[in-house]
Amino acid sequence: MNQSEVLVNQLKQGNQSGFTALVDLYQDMVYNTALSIVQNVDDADDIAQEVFVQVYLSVNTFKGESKLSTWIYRITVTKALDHEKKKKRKKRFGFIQSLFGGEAEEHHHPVEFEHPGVQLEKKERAAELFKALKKLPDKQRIAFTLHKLEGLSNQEIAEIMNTSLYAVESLMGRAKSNLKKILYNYYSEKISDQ
Amino acid sequence: MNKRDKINDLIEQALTSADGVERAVVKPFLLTRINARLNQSKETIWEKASWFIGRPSVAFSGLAMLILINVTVILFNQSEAAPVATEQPAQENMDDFSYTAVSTIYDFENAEPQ
Repeated sequence: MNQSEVLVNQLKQGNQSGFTALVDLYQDMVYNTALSIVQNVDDADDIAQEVFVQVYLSVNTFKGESKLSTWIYRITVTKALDHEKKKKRKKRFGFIQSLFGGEAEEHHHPVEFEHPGVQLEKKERAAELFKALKKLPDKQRIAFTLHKLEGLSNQEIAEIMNTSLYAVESLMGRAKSNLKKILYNYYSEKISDQ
Repeated sequence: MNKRDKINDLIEQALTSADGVERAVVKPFLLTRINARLNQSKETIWEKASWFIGRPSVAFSGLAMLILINVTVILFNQSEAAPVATEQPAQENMDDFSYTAVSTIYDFENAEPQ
């Protein structure tokens, strides 16, 4: 029996120390995945909490057909995308409220996200890459993020996204091609302005 | 380097900028915050239950069901309590309504000598 199977069994029996060990083992993975997707430190922390609460509450539905890490990755990606949708809805509602004279909540729009783990000399380019990533369709963005930032193989990504290996390869190809187009337009304007 | 080459170079730099990215560090006391949230979610189950019961459609359906059960029980009891005509011997009736009939312990004890 490997470590994750032991942890799952402990969790299913309601063992608190099992849950503590699970959080300790997967917190970096969950937080960094969420951070790469939502590009906000506070939101990523919030999502990490939500993910572990979900893991605790639904561990009995985990049948062990996939790896524990794959299951947790899947929950993280779903929660992060849900979080983004909720945020967009809130923003839209706030905008409509402000049109009718209501007091809309103040929203801060960070201009550029700086990933804390990026090397100093690459920070500017990385910020531009993250900005471009935001413009990709969800599936392409998730595939690219899991590959580039989490270092996962296409096979692992296919398992997380519940799709075929061929589909992931196709998503990766389209993601790179779209990113190049977005970045090309961005740099063209930037150079023209100079 | 012409403009196009410069742009392509910048694109390449941007695409490889995330290579070798280090893990971001989680804020301290994540487990404490998770446990707090878990306790909160346990409370909200009851809140959700009370919210569900308090919904007008559920409340009115429940009330209608309660009234229906009550009416059914009353009607059922009434049909059971309907008087059933029975034939009793004439002597028995006479004893029951007779003034001198002994019906209590007190009467037994204080019966007048005949």
